[in-house]
Amino acid sequence: MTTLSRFDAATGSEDDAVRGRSLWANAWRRLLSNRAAVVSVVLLLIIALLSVVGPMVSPHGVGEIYRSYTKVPAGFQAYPREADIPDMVGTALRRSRTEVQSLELDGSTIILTITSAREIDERLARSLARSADFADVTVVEKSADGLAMTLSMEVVRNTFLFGTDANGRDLLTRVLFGGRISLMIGLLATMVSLVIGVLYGATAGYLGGRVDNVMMRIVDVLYSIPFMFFVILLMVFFGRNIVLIFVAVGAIEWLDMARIVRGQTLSIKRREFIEAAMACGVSTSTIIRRHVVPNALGPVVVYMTLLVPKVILLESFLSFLGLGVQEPMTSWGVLISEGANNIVEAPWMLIFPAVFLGLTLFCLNFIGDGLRDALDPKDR
Amino acid sequence: MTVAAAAREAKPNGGSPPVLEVSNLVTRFATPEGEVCAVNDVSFAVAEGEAVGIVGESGSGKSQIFMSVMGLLASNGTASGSVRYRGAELLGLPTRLLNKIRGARMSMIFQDPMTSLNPYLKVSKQMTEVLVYHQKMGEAEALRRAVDMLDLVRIPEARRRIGMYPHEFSGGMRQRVMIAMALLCQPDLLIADEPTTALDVTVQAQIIDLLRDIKAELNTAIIMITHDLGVIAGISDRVLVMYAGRIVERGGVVDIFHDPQHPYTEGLLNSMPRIDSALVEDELISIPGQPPNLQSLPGGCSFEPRCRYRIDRCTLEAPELREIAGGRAKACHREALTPQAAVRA
Amino acid sequence: MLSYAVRRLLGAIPTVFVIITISFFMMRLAPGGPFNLERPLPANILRNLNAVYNLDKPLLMQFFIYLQNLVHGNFGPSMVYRDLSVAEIIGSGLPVSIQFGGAALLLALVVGACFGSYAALKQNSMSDYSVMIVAMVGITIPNFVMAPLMQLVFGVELDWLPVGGWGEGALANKVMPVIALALPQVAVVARLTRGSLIEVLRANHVRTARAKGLPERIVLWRHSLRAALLPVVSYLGPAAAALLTGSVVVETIFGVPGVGRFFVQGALNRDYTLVMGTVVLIASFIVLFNLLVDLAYGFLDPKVRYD
Repeated sequence: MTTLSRFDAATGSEDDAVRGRSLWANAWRRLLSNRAAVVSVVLLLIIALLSVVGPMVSPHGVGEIYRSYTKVPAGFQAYPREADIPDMVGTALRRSRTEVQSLELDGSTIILTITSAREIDERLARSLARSADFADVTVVEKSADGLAMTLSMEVVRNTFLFGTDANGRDLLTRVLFGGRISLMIGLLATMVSLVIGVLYGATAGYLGGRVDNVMMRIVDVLYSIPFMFFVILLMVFFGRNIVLIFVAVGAIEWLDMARIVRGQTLSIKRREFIEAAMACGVSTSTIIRRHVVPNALGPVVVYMTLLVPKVILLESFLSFLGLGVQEPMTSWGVLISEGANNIVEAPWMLIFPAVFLGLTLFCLNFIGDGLRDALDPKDR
Repeated sequence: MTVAAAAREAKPNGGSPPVLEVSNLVTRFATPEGEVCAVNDVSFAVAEGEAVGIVGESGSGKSQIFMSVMGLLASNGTASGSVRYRGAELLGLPTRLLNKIRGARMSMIFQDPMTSLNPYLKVSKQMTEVLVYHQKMGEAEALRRAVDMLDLVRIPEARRRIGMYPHEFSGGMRQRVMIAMALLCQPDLLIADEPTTALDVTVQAQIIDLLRDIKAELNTAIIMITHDLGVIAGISDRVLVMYAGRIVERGGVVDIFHDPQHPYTEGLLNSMPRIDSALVEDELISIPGQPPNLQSLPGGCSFEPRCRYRIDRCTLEAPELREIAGGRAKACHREALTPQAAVRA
Repeated sequence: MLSYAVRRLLGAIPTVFVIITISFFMMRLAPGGPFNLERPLPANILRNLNAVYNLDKPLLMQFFIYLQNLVHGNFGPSMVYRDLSVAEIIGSGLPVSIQFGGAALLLALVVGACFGSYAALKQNSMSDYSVMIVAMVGITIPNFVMAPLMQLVFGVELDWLPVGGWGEGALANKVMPVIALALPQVAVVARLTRGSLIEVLRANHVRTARAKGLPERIVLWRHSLRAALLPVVSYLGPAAAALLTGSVVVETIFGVPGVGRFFVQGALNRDYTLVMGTVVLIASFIVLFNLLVDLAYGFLDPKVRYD
């Protein structure tokens, strides 16, 4: 018996290796020849990279508020615009009871001469420097009577490629940061549903009979629960917390995964090569590891790639309802919902996050479709 | 083989054109891995009431010849050359015109009777629609004809069963339904693509008997596509042997079985178990090696790598199908296949 | 078939019961209550209110009271919309939601099936790719993005349709919400139809139909479409249940007085009875439409028989 099972295990694994290699290698080749899928993978990687690195290298903080620049439209325009600088200086000096005598602008350097009826306090320079709009404020010259002063300072110029939101925060930084959250929730929730679904489905499918019946009946019941209600209650009950979102979403999305895995396990269990392996005395765990899992993997992988966009969408939906990610964090859903509220005055606030979300979902769906075609050539 | 030769071969007894005449047929498939040539310059003809067997391994292109003939190629396939039904060209015919011939004058039955019938329609509908469309018959009359036809293919209680769905029939019965359906318009030619492969052995024999009787009673020409030489022996007058998209040998069924002239035919026969073999210890001899990859056929004879009679010429030059004695033809450079001629590999 | 349907409906009772139980207790575990307003009510009023709505009794007791009322068809009074009963709220919103959902469903089925079949018949052509890309857009762009965009384009820029509002149910006010509801479904149905039709057109029995010399028209309508629509039917079952019970997003954005909005609002307000009412409603729709799908299968697929 020992020799027999060892013999079988040896040939079995070799056999598997040959079949496995050809199956996966073929799938890989077919995937590479699918242009839409390859482009999607590249695009998605770029989006993911931008989301991870973008907020770190961006000159604007995620929560950094530019009060002077709310709802600034998207573009390469640097702010403040030159024409706005005198007004801006005026605003900054409003409380100092001084008057602007002359203002010269050289690049981003301002040479400012101010006069006042009373002696000008030098601390004015420091108070100017404290505002986010100016830097390097130095007193170049002060008249003997102290009634006039010449200051030199740098204007801090900001570019908002995607514009700013209603609070004056840089939209590009926020979109990229939101991407981080959305992608992370997508991945983690998928992982949660993968683990639960695979364990549950494989157990039901492998044990079969009454156990399977009961387990699948439970899934059926869970299916009929209006899930939004479930999530809303979770959010209300535990507070709106990001970990909870992916646990909740993952805990709901495992149902489909469990059904798929169960179906696969059932059908694989009945296949001849499993019977052959059983007849040769291969142990159950080996059968599951060597035969069931690799064969069930294809549909699971495909479902996973299609689940990620679904989860991202779900998170966006929750955020749209105000039940998702909370400030100071953000996600594409939150940004879209803010954009929808400002659609008439600031359409870019909707368009940019929507484009990023749409593009990501597009790519993920194309990759999923590509994988399905690659793993199941008869479907083409 | 030339077109003239094909025509000569098909008209041994009379001037009427052959029922089916295929000349220089080439069928190609565009695949992501490149173009595959499944049928490569095939010519033959089938005379009225004749039964021709086409034999070859899977992938030898035997089915694809008739998919081309019937206009049923997959969307990535193209056929060139000529296919004539009673002298009328079929290749390139618009589907509308082709539909006047296929199903009516020329029918085809397929390997898998379990899936070849529409599971969602009653057998009655699937049968009568053929008559209603091709012969503009009324439903009632068509139904009567369909029942008669089921009787002819020996389906018991045909009147009752015709109202059933395909899944209520056994595999053998379904193949009988397929045959009855194919015969409804009394075609001149019935193409049977591995009609028995999916069936039990006893059922296989019954189906072959049925086809033989149909040929005798209705004078329908039959083309039997199979990889099973036993099936060929049971029904055919003539045999075409296919290898890698080409005809490698052609001849009468008795000649082919008793005196194969092509090494591949010989190999096929040797690999078939024979119950009448005198020697018990007679071993089955399988053909060594694998069928060639149709994407990268060797420059010379496609069978050369597996052939035990190969000579230098085989690697250089692909043999043409040439006429040999006894109204036969073969595509091989060697004249005779004697044991002495065999090359020890 | 009738006895099958009755058996199925009876079999669904435990399912609905489980759903009610889980929902009831989950909701009650959440902190807060319907009368926790920003300005707390005086203690004696709160006590009275709790007594009126039985909230002072033990939880289990409340559950049994609720079940008892439910069996008698009584969903109870709303705890937040004080002068309305839950049945009245649902009764006023449901017809609107069914109207919108039904229109969207019909649109999805007809338009989706047409586009999907067209793409399948022209597989791998430019028109196939265009249909599929549009469908992908329909699936990936969520309707909370699509709806405001539609408002912006057709309501604000082009001024063809009212931006929102109910307009006493005027037809022009219904166009955008129905389209916004239908778009993702159209896309899914188109993709499903295309995929399954391509598979069916490659099936052996379709090859037989062609070999019989039948014209493409018959091959498509008689031999292919029925099988190709089976996956669409099983998709449309749950989708119908969801559509007919209203969509939070579309109803909120366009200001449609349907039943979908009450779900989220009810949960946020801890309007226990209203939430339970919507849960029961949605669960029964799901059960009902799953049954309808199975019955439709029995009708479409002769291999499935119910006796």
